[in-house]
Amino acid sequence: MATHESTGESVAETVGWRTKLRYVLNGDLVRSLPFWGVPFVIMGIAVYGGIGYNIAISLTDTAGIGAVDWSSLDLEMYRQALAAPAVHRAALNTFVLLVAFTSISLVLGLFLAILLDRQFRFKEQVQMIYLLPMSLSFVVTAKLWVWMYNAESGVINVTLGLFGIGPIDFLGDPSYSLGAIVLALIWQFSGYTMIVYLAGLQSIPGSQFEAAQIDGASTVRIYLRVIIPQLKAASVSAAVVLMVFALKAFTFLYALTGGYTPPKGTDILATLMMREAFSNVQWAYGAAIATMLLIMALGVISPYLYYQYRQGSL
Amino acid sequence: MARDSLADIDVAGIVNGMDHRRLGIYIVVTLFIAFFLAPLEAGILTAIKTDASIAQTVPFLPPGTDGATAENIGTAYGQLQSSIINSLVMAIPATLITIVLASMAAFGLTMVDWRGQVGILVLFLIGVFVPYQAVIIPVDKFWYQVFPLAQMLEPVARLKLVEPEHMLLVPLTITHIAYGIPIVTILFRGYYQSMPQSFVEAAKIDGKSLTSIYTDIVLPLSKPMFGVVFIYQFTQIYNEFLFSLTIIKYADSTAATMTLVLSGIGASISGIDYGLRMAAAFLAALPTLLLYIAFSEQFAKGLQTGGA
Amino acid sequence: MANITIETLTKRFDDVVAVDDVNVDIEDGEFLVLVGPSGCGKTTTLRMIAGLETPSDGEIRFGEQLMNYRTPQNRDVAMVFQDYALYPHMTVRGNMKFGLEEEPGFTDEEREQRVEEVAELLDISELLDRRPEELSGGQQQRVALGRAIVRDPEVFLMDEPLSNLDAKLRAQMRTELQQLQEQLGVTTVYVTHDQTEAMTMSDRMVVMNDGILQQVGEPLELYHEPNNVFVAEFIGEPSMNFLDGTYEDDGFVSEQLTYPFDARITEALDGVSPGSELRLGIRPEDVDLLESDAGSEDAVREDHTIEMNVTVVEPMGNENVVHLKFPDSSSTTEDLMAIVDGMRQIDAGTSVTVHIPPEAVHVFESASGDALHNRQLEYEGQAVRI
Repeated sequence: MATHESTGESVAETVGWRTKLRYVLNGDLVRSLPFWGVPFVIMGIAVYGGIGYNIAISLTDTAGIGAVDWSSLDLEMYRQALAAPAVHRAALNTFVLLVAFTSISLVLGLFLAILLDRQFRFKEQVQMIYLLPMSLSFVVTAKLWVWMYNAESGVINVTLGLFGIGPIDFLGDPSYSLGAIVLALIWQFSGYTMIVYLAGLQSIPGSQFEAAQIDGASTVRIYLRVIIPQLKAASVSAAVVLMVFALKAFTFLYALTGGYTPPKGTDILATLMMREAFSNVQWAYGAAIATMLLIMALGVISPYLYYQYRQGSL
Repeated sequence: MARDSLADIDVAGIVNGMDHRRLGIYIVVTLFIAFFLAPLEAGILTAIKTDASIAQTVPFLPPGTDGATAENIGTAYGQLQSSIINSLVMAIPATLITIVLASMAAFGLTMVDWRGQVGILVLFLIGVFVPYQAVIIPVDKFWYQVFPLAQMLEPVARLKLVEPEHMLLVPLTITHIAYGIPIVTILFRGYYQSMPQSFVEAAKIDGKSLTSIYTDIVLPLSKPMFGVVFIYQFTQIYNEFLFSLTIIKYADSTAATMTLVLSGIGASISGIDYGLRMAAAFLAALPTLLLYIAFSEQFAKGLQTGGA
Repeated sequence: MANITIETLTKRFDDVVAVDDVNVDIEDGEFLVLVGPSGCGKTTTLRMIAGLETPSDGEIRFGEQLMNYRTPQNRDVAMVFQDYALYPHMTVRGNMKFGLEEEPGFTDEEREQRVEEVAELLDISELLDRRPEELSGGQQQRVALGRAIVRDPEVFLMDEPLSNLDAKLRAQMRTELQQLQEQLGVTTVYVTHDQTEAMTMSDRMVVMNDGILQQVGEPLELYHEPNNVFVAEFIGEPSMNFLDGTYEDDGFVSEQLTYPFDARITEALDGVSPGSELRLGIRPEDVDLLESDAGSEDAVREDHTIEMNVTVVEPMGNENVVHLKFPDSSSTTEDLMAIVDGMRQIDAGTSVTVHIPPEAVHVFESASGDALHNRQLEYEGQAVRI
């Protein structure tokens, strides 16, 4: 122990601060700075500067055309937003959309992944078709589904008509509109959850399946007891992506009507925020709702990031 | 004898069971193919129908010979042509610059081991998930009040013989770069992490600078990843709407991007201009659709690691 | 060329001490092998010498120069990695030249020439324009070696370079690598978990366990004079037999065995109080199995013999490994292993007289594991020079 301390000192004595400084300057932190520094600053200004600026605006009473008015800073906009019935409705719709869209997309994606996971001749082609909607813009998807849902001659009403049902104005009737939008978004996203699950399934050694088969377990049982429990990580990351998407889904709803007012009964916080800010020019009020959205998104991703950190997979 | 017949029945039963299962799987797979293709199929057929034919025929059946027309496609092309060019002019440089910056950032973050890396990484990760609504008012204020770049560049536009409004594409491109960096960095980081650590260490011992390690080793080895990331990010930017709406604002601007113009075509929910709407939707989707058909594997890989 | 001095070298990762107060002097031109089970800190030590890890404490010096505050590139070392770290997008020539590009004072032609010389030396000239993926594991290994040699560094560092090769190739490369090192005369630090590699290749070896240096010395010194139970057990295959008992009446006593010590051993155990727990060690090749028709000569050894049952015989061809159990043993595995000549017929299930020669026994203190007495080195005419 004594030798430890004495050599520790002798290193400090014999090595001047210049050497140490040179070592630090040659070290990984400093040498890597040119690589991550510039992108980090750009990203930092855009993301964190943006968030800060947004919060700052939300504390003002800025509205209308002109510069931000910094004269009075308070939480008035948050108080107003929390009291507004429109915000309550939008929050409820956001919650319904988030839960229904996320859970059904996950279940359907898992089902499709299992369907295609086993030896299947046209696996790649089918996979490509299922994933195809993900390559489309939400604006395109919205156009396609407006036509699908058309009350007079849309595919869905024509099909339902064969069974003597309808016609139903899916996007016009508030009791159907949110469900119709959830279905359209599931159409676009279940291919995504499918490939996430397929990647998860591929990482499970085939020998586990074979071992359970030799033990006499049925296919359903093997999936329920052996395979699906191992897809936790895939489920978590896909769920986070879907939930965050549900919080910010704006483009699809905007493109359905081509304006800031989405179909009746489908107003969510993301569309409400955009309408208040850019259509009603209530900047501060919009910014306050935006901050609430951000807090919700952080509520979703913080546990996820913590989970990833604990798993050592950050 | 009895044992033999018993065995026969068993085998037959198993074979039968397999057949039923197989058949069941094929039916379910086909039903889902129909589900995923129906909106596209109905859309394409509607795009080539006359208005009369749209009203008379079932949407998912082809038009009769007299009900087919290329008029919708022609009209849609006229309306969309310049906006698709605007989108490409914006999306291609935005994607390339994002990739270069993010690849460097990911290299700096992963290949080099230093304290605090996790903290910086978390800042990037939050950047991936932040709802753009939380920054969209600042984006608007920044480009219109704090730093009106497009306005500053207008004199340049006059020299180059493009409309002054086109300069709005510059702040739009920069915005896409800034908000694209986090996700692309995470994509590259995942790839670089899977590279053997010894590649970098061996080069360090040989006295290579980090620049040399990056350009001589990491870049050549990440060529396939550049493809994946380009397809992913290009699709994202080309399809993106919110920033276009905020920065360009109007569908009739000469700088309007594809999504902005498309969102305004056939705006109302009712009406019978569906032939035009569908034709426009397909023309607008064509660049990413073709990219997807050619590189669906890379596209899937990008989504698997990067998220939607 | 350089000698390396390592003083009180310590590395802590958070609260785990990976390397704990290691002191070694490595001579110029020496082939030093760091050996130990996985997680023992040998690789961390090597990486600190390379500059890939920063020591938490202690010093590393090459010659007179302190290395602690030098980055890897300023240490003039070359390293061979376990996975070879060959760049897949470069040819063999490109791989070998890549490291040389940073060496000052070379023209491009000279670099080219140097690569070819080294390729010649390693007999891989015809592979120079191939890519790593086209090479066999053995060839890749040579290229990795060539990439290190080409730099002509002061120190070679090798991290389990042979562990990815099959057994036969590994044996061949062992000899080749050793000859090469001798020829080049470059100080070499070599890490392995394989005690055979350590024994056959090294000038001296360092045995580590749990971050702590157990013993430094020439291979045979460690084999015959281990400092403690860990080294005794780690070195040698099959490993040394151990019997647990107590020190009573100037001898070793366990439930099954009473083994009187001779004067030389009791002398070494001078400070040990009777009743202390001891561990008796004997290498399998030193255990004698006496013929049943024991002659007068064997009677002399009576004190050191015991009847045991043969449970398993593993024929190796040149020798038989015989597993032995005490008649009333409760142990599930063997109590003792012996190596006898391959031509000798011994059957499982029989009983044999086992002779444990007192010249060959090691005595360890049970609690600390420290050696109290090691075997004598002159024994039955086999003079062992250390």
